[in-house]
This record gives sequence, C-alpha cells and structure tokens, in this order.
Amino acid sequence: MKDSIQNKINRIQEIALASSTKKSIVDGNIIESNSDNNLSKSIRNTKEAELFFSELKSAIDLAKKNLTKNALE
Amino acid sequence: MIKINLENTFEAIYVSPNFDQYIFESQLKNNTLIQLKVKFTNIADSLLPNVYNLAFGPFDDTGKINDSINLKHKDSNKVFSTIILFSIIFLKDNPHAAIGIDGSDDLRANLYHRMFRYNYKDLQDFIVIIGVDWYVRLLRNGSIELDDDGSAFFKPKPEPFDFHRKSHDLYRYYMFNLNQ
Repeated sequence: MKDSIQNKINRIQEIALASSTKKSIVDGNIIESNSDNNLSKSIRNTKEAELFFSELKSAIDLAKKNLTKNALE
Repeated sequence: MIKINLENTFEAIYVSPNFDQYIFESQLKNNTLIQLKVKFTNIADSLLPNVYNLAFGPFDDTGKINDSINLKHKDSNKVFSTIILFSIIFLKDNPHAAIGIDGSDDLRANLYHRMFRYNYKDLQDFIVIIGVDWYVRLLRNGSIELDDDGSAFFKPKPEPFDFHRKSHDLYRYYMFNLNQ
C-alpha cells in the first residue's frame, strides 16, 4: 500500500480514536435476524446463511485467483 | 466515468469510534458546500450474514441520510474515492464483514457497476468485489420453493464480479470484502 494512502488511513483512525472508547461491532459470528420468530424458518435461514458463507468464501477465493491470473497475463 | 484515486480524497470532519459513520464536505457545481454522511449498517438479513449496507448522502430535515437525492458534485471522482477509502477503513476494523451496495434505482446500480468495472485493477490490492444475484429453487414437482408467506423464496448467490457483464445485465446487489 502506498505511504500516502496509509497516512490517510492513519489520520482517519486517529480522528475516530479521539472520539470515545472503541468497540468492534462485528464478532465474526453469524448474526440472526430479530424477525426470525418462527423456529423452522430460523433453522432454515441459518442453513442458508451457512451456505451463503461457503459460497461467498468460494467466490472470494475464485476472485483472488482471477486477479492473480490477470496480473500474470 | 468515475475514476477512483485513493490518494485524492476529502478530509473527514467526523469519524465514529466504530468507523461505521463518517462526515465530509463536497462542493457542488453551483459552488454550494454540502456535508455528506457515509454510514455502514448491518442489514440484519439472516440470508446475508455480516453484510453492512453502504449508504451515503446529505442529511435530510430529520437528520437521516437522504440517499435518493441526485447531487451534481464538482468532483465526483473525489467523492467516490473518499467513500471507497472510508469503506476500506471500516473493513480493516471489521475484517469479517462485507460491504453491500444496493443501487436504489437502475441509474445508481449502473453507476456502481461501471465504477467497479472501470476501477477493479486499481482496487484489487484493497478489496475483492463480489456480485450477487438472487435465485429461486426449482422443486422436483415442477413448482418453486416458497417462503412462509407463499411468495418465491429467493436466495442470494454470490460470485466473483464478472467484469464482462454489460450494463444491461446488472447484479441485483454488489458487495466487497477486504483483500487479505
């Protein structure tokens, strides 16, 4: 990453840290929808969410491979 | 065409502690200075886990983001470069998250589509761009899978952004993750 961009990022992070105590808002776990009051729907959607995660991971891996391939060509 | 240059961005005048909200100023073509807010919100859709929707625009009368207004910026490239830079910072702080953009209309969706297509080489060091279409499952009895309310049960299917897709074949949703 270019130093100028990294410097910009550092400056913005300093502004945020000056605001108040920082707290990460994502813990990496699957977040359930509050509207899922139906158990079967909740189970089904959890399964679909896991499937989505898996497909997203595959898509990201494939995209990275494509980027590497394009860079070599 | 929007040209992203992360070295040419506006200064943030506010950044939230969680890096999910930013405010910066942009000059419009009529020389008015306008404050723009960028906000990342967990869409809390169990079918799109850990996806944070990107919204940006000026404040409306109630203090919320007006993301449907059409503004003529003096430097649109700088505006979008700033938004992408803020997005990267949010993702660096939340590496498990993905940012999603849902063009509120075809015009905006077209803008995002062309922006990603035109800038992917410059952005590839920072983010991985994903396109999302929605599909419904065809059952063996010839009908389609239905939701609890009887409507078609559409599921998001992510794929690497296909840069060969033309503007008449837009994705329904655009996402990007940190390239880590």
